[in-house]
Amino acid sequence: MVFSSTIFLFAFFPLFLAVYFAMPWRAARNVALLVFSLVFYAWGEPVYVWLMVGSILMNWALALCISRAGLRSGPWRKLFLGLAVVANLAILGFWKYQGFLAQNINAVLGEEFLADLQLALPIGISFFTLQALTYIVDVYRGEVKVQKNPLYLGMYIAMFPQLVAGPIVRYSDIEYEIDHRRATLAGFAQGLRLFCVGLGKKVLLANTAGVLADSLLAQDAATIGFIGCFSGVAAYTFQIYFDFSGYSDMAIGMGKMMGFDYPRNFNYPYTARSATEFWRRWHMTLGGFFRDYVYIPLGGNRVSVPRFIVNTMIVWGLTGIWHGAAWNFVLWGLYWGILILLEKFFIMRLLDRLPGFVSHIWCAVLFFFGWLLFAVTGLSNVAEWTAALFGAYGWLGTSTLWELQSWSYVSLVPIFIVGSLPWAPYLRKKLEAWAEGDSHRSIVAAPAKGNSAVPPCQALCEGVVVAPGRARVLAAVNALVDVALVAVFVLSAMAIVSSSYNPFIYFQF
Amino acid sequence: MKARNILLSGVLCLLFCGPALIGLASWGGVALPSWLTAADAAYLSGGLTEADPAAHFSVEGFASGEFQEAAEDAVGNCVPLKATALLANAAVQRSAIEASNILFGWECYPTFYGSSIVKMPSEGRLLETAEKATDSVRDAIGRVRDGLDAFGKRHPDQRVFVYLGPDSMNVEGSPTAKLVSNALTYEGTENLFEEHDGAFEWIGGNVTFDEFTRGWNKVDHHWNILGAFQAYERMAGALGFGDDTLAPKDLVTYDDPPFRGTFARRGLETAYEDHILDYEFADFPKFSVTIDGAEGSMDSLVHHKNYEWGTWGPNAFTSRYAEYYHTDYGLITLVNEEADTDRNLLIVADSYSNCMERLLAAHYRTTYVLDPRHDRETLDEFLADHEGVSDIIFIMRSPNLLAQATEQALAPASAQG
Repeated sequence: MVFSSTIFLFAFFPLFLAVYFAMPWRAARNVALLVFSLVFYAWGEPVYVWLMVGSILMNWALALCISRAGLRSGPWRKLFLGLAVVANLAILGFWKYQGFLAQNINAVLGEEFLADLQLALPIGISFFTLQALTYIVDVYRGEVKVQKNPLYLGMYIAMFPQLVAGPIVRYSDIEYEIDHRRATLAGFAQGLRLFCVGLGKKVLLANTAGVLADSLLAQDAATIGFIGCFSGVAAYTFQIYFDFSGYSDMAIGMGKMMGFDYPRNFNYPYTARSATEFWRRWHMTLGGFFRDYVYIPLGGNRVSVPRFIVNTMIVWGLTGIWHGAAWNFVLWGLYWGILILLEKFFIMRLLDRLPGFVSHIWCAVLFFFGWLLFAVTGLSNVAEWTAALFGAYGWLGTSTLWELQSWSYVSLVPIFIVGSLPWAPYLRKKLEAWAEGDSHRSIVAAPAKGNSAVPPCQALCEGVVVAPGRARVLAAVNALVDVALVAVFVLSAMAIVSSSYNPFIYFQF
Repeated sequence: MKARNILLSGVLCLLFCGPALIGLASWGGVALPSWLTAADAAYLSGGLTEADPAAHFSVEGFASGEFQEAAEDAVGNCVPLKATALLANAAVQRSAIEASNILFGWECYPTFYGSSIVKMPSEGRLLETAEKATDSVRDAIGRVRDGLDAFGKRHPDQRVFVYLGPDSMNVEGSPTAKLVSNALTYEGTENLFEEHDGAFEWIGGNVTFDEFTRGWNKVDHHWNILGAFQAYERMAGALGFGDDTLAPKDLVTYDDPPFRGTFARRGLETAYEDHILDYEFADFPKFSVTIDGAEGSMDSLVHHKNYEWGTWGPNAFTSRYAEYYHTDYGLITLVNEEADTDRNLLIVADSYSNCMERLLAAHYRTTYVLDPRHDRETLDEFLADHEGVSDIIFIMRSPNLLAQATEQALAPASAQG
């Protein structure tokens, strides 16, 4: 089940909200959330729900063992931690990488040494495994209290808003909220607004860009030439951003409706001026996971230069392979690792001295080739597409301009670009400054947590002392924003009803 | 702020619950107008699927996915204003495409993103994007051509004719053929078919684009009676009745109901519409009619009386072509009670023949109209069961002539599993 489907929007979600808010106690709401999450997961893959339940019980039991095994340095604690980490990675490794491993080992040995079991990838396994790992490690580190109630831990691991495509919520993010969250009308409405924004990004922008991206990425570079390859990757660049950040917005919004404050996952990544900055803005919860649970334990940057380079490449290799069991994902991860190292040692000083537009162009080129590695499967295809982008097959390959259909998206390019830029927080700050009567107030960067991703629809002028005479204008702006959001919801619902094209790219991970 | 939050939450929750409200109203027996429910969209989205989630509500039903499928269908069937949603969504996308086209000035453009139906404002019509002459298409043409040759050789006592009905994809001067590389044109198809061994006769059916605009519907893939009659005259000439063709007395135009055919449905575009045209003839023979083994009448094949009485389907996207003439059947038999010949005709056809089989039937004693998509027996088997067939004519458009069903119909009886 995906959020942008009729069954979710018009049956599952309203039914969940009705049951959830009918429960008088938080404990009952937690159980309702767990039950609905398991149904949500089982909807598409009834068999794998048992894998999920097994993972919950295993992590619950091992975390209890860790917490009861004495001092932090005790060998039993380490043993249970090791067991939990190995078990979680084994689950992920078996279901996600068995086929990849078998194919490569067999290719090296030249014989069928290991059978490719061709297992279907359980949806969201990459996300819920990492979440379970953060819980286990944080219990070991003493950063969170062990959760004694398996139903509550199950609710955390299986929580449907962020189960299948993130954001990766650490247990510490919601530990307090499991027992003490407050669902308020304001929070509910804020969550709904963010849900509408995410739904619009996904359905109206990502899916539309996806029609072009899928059509062109399925063809040979020689058939579609430079224009086809360029517009295919460009469309994918927008598709993946709107798709993934839209999903995250919907997830954060649904959490907000229930009183949870999930971490922010995107902060306008296409405004970055370097590869390093891009990864501080793109899939922030994944970057945070690898930083805190892999990079820093490896020694971080407080090591020799060669070790630092090795640590960095390990992290980026893992980031790549986490996205998918294929060499192009590994290559994609290493590509970013190498770029980040190059920036750290050579390019960053130069970028800092160059005009802003030059560094933006630098980054646009990086995104472009990064997504080329990500989207085009097979290394030989990547080579062909790269050649096409350098003109090997002419402007159009063997196609006509008309049939490439890139031309029909020209009017949408400004919308895609504007949708990727932080105009909403900018306008919000401007409006708040105006409302306070302070036209010189500086525009501060949006904070990194939860609802800061929301455009002016949300926290607009909440807590601001409005200057006399300006309240009516603000009320009118607020009302217009809400009308626009309802329109976005209606347009999105129309598109969902119409369209059979509705993939979530990050489901495959 | 509180009132704003209450209002927004209320409106959105109401929208979330729309299908549930429609479902409850239907369950409670409340008669809702078809535009408010998903009923009007039945023709646009391929019909309403029968859904009974309760019947699959069990562990087995859930494990097999049948419950989920039924529940999703049930929700889809309850979406309010579904037809409006489908058309409005396409209109939004089309406006973006039209805005882009200001820069390029293409004569035709897709009716929505990903649509194979294109809009041609200068002619006020919708067209299908031309098919490409890929290797697999050429192979299919080769297989059907060889199948026709082999069939003709197995039946030397019968004359075999093929009439490929042009369509918007392949007609001479097709605007979409110019926009696509390596388009499969009528002429290209004809050239490949003409490389045959002489066991069948190819009747050239190509028309100019001007003739096409007059003889084909604007928003449906079928020809109208003008295009069909032009084809009939060519067929009659090839069959040897060129001096004895029927002469229409009058052209009848039914202004109502408006006809929004396959292109309008698939393209989700309502800007243009067609009207049913038909010819009246002075001395048209009387036929006894059998349809799929049941007794019928000419009124079952041409429903002109219904249209004269103002009786037609309420859905705006009903196929008026099928409604006025007839829907597709496996086998129709027309016996010309006034015929002065003993010759019998077998028409192997798709829906292109629905408006014109009676014209050819006027020249024969018995005419069989067999649609391979709906009748699975091979032509060898059919001829073995129906003696006296002197002429066999294939009347189809390209997608159906090259379809597997046609290949199977042409296969020798022994090749059928």
